Amino acid sequence: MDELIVKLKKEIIEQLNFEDLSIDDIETEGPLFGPEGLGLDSIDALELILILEKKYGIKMTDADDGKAILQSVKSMADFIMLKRK
Amino acid sequence: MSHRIFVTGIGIVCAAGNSASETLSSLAAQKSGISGMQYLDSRLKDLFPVGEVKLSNKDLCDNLSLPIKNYSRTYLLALAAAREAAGEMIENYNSSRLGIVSGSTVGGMDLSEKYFQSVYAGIDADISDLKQHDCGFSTEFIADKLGIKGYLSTVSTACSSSANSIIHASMLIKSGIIDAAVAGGVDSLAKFTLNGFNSLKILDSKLCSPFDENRNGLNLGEGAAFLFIESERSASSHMNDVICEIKGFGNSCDAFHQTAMSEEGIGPKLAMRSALNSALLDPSEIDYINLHGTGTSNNDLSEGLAIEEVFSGAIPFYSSTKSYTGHTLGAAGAVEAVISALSLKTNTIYPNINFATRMKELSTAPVSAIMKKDNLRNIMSNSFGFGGNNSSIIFSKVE
Amino acid sequence: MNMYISGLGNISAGSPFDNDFQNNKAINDSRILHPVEPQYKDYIDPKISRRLSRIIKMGLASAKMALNDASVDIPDGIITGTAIGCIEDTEKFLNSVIEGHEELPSPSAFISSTHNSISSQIAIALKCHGYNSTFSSRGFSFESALMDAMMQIDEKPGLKFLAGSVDELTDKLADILENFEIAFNLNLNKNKFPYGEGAAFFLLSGEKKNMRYGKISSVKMIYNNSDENILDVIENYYNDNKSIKDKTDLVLFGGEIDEVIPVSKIFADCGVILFKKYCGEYFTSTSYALYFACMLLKNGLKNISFDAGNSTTVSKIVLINKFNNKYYSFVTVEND
Repeated sequence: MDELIVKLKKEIIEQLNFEDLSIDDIETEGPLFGPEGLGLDSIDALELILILEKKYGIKMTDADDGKAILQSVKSMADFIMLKRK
Repeated sequence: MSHRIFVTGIGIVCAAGNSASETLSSLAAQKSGISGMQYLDSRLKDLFPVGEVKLSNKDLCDNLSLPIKNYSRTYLLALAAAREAAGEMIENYNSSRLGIVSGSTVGGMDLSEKYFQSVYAGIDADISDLKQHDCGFSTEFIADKLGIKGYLSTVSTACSSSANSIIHASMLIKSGIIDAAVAGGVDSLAKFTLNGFNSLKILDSKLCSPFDENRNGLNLGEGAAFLFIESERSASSHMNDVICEIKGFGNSCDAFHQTAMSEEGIGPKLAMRSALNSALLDPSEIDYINLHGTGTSNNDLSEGLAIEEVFSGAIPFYSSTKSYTGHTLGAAGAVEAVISALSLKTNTIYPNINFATRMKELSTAPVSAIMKKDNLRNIMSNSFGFGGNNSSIIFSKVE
Repeated sequence: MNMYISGLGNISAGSPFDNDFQNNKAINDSRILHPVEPQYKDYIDPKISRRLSRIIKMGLASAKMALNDASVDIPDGIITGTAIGCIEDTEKFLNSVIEGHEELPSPSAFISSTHNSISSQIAIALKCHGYNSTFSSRGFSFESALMDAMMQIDEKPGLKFLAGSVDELTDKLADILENFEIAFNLNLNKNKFPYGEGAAFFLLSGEKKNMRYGKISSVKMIYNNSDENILDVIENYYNDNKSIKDKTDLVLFGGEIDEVIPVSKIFADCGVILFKKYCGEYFTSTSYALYFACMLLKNGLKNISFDAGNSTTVSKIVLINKFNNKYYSFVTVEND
């Protein structure tokens, strides 16, 4: 799980172009969206969904609660682990 | 000196028709031009219906008496519409007092992407095709074909490009820099834009339903439309029939987000108010609004709320004609300007097709059946673009 | 109608007043004159910077420089000229569509690829809801922005408009431009100046009290589709304009080396400087010439090491630019 968290953080930094951030700067359970978090917006949400699809082969459906899944790095990792089973 | 700007010619090629009269027939018959992709070769072919012009590039070349060679579809569509708008009357003008202002989002991308596709696949491709890539190329080609020398420029403000080109041309005439202009815009279907909108997940897999509670996104379209506009004095001295007047216009920026509109519709409200001020009209004097109305969740909500606030107490009839043409991007402003001119000419409001349920946030709904309106005098046409570029133009009957 | 320049911002390879830059042979031997870019964090919030491509950062930073220079927080309107637009992001997105066979392209590059991204990101950063437009019109892109500003200011002289341009050059685009020259004998760059890229913005208004550099008294674009010779175009323009005939001190010229002497003769032997030597060849290079003119009006000809010909004073400067023997522009900048 730890490996997955680190991998996800690296992918977020790369895909979302956070040039000045390191993986230590991203709180695993901290909010990704909104001003208290990394300040991501709707375009970033699409990019996160792309990460799930491209890197992990997971397609989010209408039945999935997108907001909850993308809430934090941890919730994304949990979703990936769930889909892997 | 009068600063009135008159529209004395219109030209259009879009999914709903290859000319103004064909487009009018489709509008009158409430027949949508949106269908499956016929000419664009895309993996998304069977997933999304589009507003494709029902002519191949070869057909367009034949109609324009051009040799069959690698022209960008953008140029072909634009030349066809510009020719229809300017017609034969352009020969009676001093070319140094004539201008052309066009608008486009992606210029000759349809041809550029084919070039790069070939290069990627290891197939021989002609690099000179890339000379048609930029937004300004088709404007130059048309200026040369129609003999226009006085002024040329191209606006690129995404979905409001051709609305802004009409505004720019109007100001040039008011300033006395030119007497008349061909003003409008063009965009042709391309994998670039189709995939771009798909990556934003705002394409409808069925016919779009603008301003509907259950709307699902937009249908991408293509097309070109131009107005021939001139000063009152020029129209009179050339004894041209006046179709309508450009009474006023407004341009503002939402300044909120690169793609999304602010929920309150700050930019749209400012553009509409600015147009009303410039036309010296009270909101209650607008008889009909041709909406930007793309069918996306975001645009329609912001535009709807903005209209209900600006026109509070006297909300005019409104509809989106994108269910006939699709969203023609850079051409949208001019396509809808031509449709507004046709509305004034025929005293008819053309409805939303495919509308069922009013949006819960609004107290009004779009016109959903053809409406004859003999006292149709002032029409506002909205074009609200990516990047928050918002423009509104008011077209009025000349009594 | 005069437009008074109260602020400017410029990102380019260098200043003609900088002797080291002037004398740097390596610059003239380079293929592309890349601008010296500032520390963007001095102008752009790092939180939004990640979303912005290089061309948008150049535009936004130079716009902010102009506003700071003029001590203005929010202009009344923003007008940008860019002939090729956001080419880096366009290439990125197009590659992802082609190489990915239309599967899963990333939206960020697409939304930053539209030409109006520059003007719009400037507006977002400043929260400016005023007039906003972008022109992409080959050799008239910047000139159209100036013309538009002039007409807006003519209607409302009290308004302050930010007008400018930015064009970038990727290696791929430079390859393509070179290919056109070689394959089609299309002398885009007869002088063999390097290609260039850069951004420049100006804060303009109709009120003289705001003037800090000079005024733009005329903007003229001549579209030469009858293949007239450049010297004839320039001579006709000169003869048709009394104010220029009366007294032009200096011409900043975007044409070719062998045209310098004839142009000087047309302009009553005044100095003619080839400004593309300093900024390279690009569609919106007139904005660099305007920056150059502003610096000349402010500093005069003292301590310059470039050759200003017969000119001894500079109070009226005419910028003449051309692209592809079709697009000719004339901008008059002067003291008031």
